[in-house]
Amino acid sequence: MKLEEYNISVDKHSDGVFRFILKNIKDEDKARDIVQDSFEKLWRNVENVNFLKVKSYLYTTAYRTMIDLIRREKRKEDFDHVDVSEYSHSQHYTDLKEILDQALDRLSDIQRSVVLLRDYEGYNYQEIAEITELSESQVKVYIYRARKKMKEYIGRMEAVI
Amino acid sequence: MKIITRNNYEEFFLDYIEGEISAPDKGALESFLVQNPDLKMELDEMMDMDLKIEGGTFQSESDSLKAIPFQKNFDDFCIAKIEGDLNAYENEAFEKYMASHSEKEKDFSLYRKTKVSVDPSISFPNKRGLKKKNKAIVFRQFVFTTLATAASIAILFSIWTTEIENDPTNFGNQQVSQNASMPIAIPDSVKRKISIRLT
Repeated sequence: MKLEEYNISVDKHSDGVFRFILKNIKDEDKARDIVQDSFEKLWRNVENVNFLKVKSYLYTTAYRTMIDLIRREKRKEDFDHVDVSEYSHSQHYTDLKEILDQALDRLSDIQRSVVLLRDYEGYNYQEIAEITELSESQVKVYIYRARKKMKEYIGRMEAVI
Repeated sequence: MKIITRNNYEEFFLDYIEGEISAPDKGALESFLVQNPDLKMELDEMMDMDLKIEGGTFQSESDSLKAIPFQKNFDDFCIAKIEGDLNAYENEAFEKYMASHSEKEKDFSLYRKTKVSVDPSISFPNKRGLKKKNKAIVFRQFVFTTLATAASIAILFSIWTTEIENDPTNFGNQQVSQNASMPIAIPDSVKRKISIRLT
């Protein structure tokens, strides 16, 4: 890849990678670090990465860095950790976006990642499988399970409003 | 051996369903399910899912419209519809089914709401910091900066030496002419010695 193509990649993909990571880990500083690390890795390997495949390279790199970070941080927690995504039903939800964000929060890390790759970036099952190192069938099952969970949660919340 | 928790159990479920789970993990999974009976139900549901994953099409018992199990697997067909996993025949069949079962519209609508859309207001704050410059440009800038600095030093030095030449007193230097006489002060002790010798 040429220098110009690398800089084009920054313009085209930094926002998308940032949104994807931020939506997963909810920490802007760490999301920024992951994006920077991903592009630094790309730059170190710039001569070996095909410009046509740079998007999947970036998402793969960012996803794996994110998962490593999540697993490192979870190991620090007590295994009796209570699911903090349980929201009080006394809260008043004002719009679908908030409910949808909360539904996403209730998914497992992998479920949330595959849904975001699907909906944000329009990746197909095979592409998501390559990024997440899952099989295509696993990706489909994760997405289907995620949609069911989200649908049930949205339905409960809308009934409360 | 990886510990199974409520945050990572799905990985083990999938390995179990696909027959790829190791013996130690299988034992751990069985113990985990005893402690988490609600997840046992979830595993049973996953195993009951009537999906034909390969090829992305549903396994219909027959090509007859009536035979497509919308009623039994309605949720799965809703998801398949929004994921674009239905073939043309199934798509048409699903739409006909929905047209004649308006009571199902609410559920299908909830599934449509699960599609997440991008928030364009979120952007990476420092793209410029990610970009790289042309190495040749960087080198030229370095050379230019170095030459400019050297030139500045040379100019300052020149100004300083010129000031010295124009007004040497300011710098404590006295230039003495060979023809000018300078009185030399004779100490009193020397004068007395000279006067004693003369007398």
